[in-house]
Amino acid sequence: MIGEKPRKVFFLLIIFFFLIVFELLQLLPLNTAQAVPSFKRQTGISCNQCHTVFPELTPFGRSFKLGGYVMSKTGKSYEFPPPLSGMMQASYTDAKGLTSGVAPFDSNNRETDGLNLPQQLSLFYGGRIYDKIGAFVQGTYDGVSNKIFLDMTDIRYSNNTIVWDKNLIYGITLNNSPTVQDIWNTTPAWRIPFASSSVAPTPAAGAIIDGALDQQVGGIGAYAFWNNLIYLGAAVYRTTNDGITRPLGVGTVTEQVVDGAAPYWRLALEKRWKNHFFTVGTYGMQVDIFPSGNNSGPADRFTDIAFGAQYQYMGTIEPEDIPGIDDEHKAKAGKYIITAHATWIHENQDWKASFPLGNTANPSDLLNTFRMDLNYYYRSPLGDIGGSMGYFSTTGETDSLLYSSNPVDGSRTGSPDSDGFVLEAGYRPWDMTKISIQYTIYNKFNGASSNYDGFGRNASDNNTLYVVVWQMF
Amino acid sequence: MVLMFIWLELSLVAILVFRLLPVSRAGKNIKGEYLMKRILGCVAVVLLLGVVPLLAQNFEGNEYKKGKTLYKNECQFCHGMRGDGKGPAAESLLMHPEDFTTSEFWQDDVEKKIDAEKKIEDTIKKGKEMMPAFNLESGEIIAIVLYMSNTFKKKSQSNNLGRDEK
Repeated sequence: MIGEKPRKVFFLLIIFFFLIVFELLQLLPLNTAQAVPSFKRQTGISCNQCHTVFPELTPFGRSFKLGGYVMSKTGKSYEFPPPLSGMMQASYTDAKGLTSGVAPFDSNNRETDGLNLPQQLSLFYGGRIYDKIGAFVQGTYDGVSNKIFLDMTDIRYSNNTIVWDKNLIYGITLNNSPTVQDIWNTTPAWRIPFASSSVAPTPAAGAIIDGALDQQVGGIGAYAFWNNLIYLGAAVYRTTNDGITRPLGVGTVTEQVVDGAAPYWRLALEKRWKNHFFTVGTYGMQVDIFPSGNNSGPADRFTDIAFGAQYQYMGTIEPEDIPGIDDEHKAKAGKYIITAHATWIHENQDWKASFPLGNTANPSDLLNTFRMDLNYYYRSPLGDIGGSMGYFSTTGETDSLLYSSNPVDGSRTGSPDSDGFVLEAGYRPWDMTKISIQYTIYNKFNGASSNYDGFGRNASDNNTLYVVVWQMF
Repeated sequence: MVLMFIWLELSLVAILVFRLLPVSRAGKNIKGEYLMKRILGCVAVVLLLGVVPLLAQNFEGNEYKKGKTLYKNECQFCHGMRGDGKGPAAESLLMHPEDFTTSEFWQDDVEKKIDAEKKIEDTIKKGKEMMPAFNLESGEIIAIVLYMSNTFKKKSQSNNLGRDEK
């Protein structure tokens, strides 16, 4: 067993090694497309064409994803070397009033707990597999839980044709997290904030579709996007606990075992007006889950129905207006981006199994989640600079057994209600590097503002300062 | 391809008949036979000559098909299968993809003193504005340009004629 201190030194060395490699690659007289992530290498287009500020997608990035990640600058069905990329996240978390020795900060050393070097290390296969089949596959080492697992995975076949005189993009997706296949940032898998602390306390309640099934299910689905207007998607998911979907959950302990197949749907409408892109849509799923520790017998039923809206403005100032600008920065500079998202998820929880077992106080519960955010980024010649502010709220029925009293993560009132704000400032000095400072403010946490856990802890004690450095390579 | 073989067969049949016909026989109409032989000879030559353009056309046809496949894989997502700049991804681009069906697009670059086809080759090789430089072999680029020229240039000319008539 590696001790705490040697482990940190080991990871610091790994980070140092990657940074050295990255810097050396910058110095080598390579084609610029050789030392950057695989999507850029494959397509030959700059990161900015697909991302506002990674990982949020631009309209063209959405097209690229729908096209199955196969758009390429070569005429080859298969390319060598394979499209591999890497990512490192290093972060520091500070939560006000945090008491050492209390989970999740349980090592009696706040500094060690808060400094996550790395928080995450990922290896991606991102790009064409063969012809019209492409993939986004992420393998991750989680520096906090010290485990390696198959993270977000989306393997696609895509094609396009003309139907009723308009373009139709259609395809099939094989993935391991509901909504990971989605192209807008209103759905949970790709919502803002894109990075958050792995060690700070978070509210106890959350809808099933809101990340609870990530890497714990595998599913296959189909999608179609007609005339850049109507998007329709459907999928079915089953547990990764056993059977053919098991490889999609490698490294993840299946805590939510799904009974049978769970249907997922998605409908969205997108409309462009000049440089403004508007999207409204609905998504949801119905899933039966066995109570914790069971693999058979009765299951609880969760029905999630969600609505979302997105607005994106891809502002442009003519490059000619910027004196002395070179060709490299022409496409990049002088653009400002505004994005706004809103999502509302309504969940019906039918405790068909848990209520008879005495795990819940009510035979059924409701849970509503609402989130909205506004983001602004300016592409200056010195890099992208901007930030976001968001509001989040979770409300639901009081259930004293489901949300019971416990230090830090419990609820004195049995209510799941939480709400607050997330403020973030971000700077992207280079294509592959992003630095964010994030502050989360809680008005209410697990049902109350003061003494919410029944052990004297206030909601504001969970206010969290989070600094993260992302490096892609 | 099938047409070429039929043509070739017809040519060979004509040559065979031409060869088998007797030059002269006693008591027969030698003049008529001679005339028939001459006619068949001419038909055989014409048919054989016809094979040459067909062979060339077939070679070009292969290039055309190659160009069409490459265009479909590399270009149509933005520029559209009809070449009108309205591909599946066109709506998501901030700069509108080039419309190949306009006569303006097929105008020669007077400044650089190059024709439209060379201009397209250069654009594919070097990229332009939002379009990336493509890492294609020169044969592949020529095939794409051939396909574009045969498909969209003709379309642009008919579009132009239509406009003039109006």
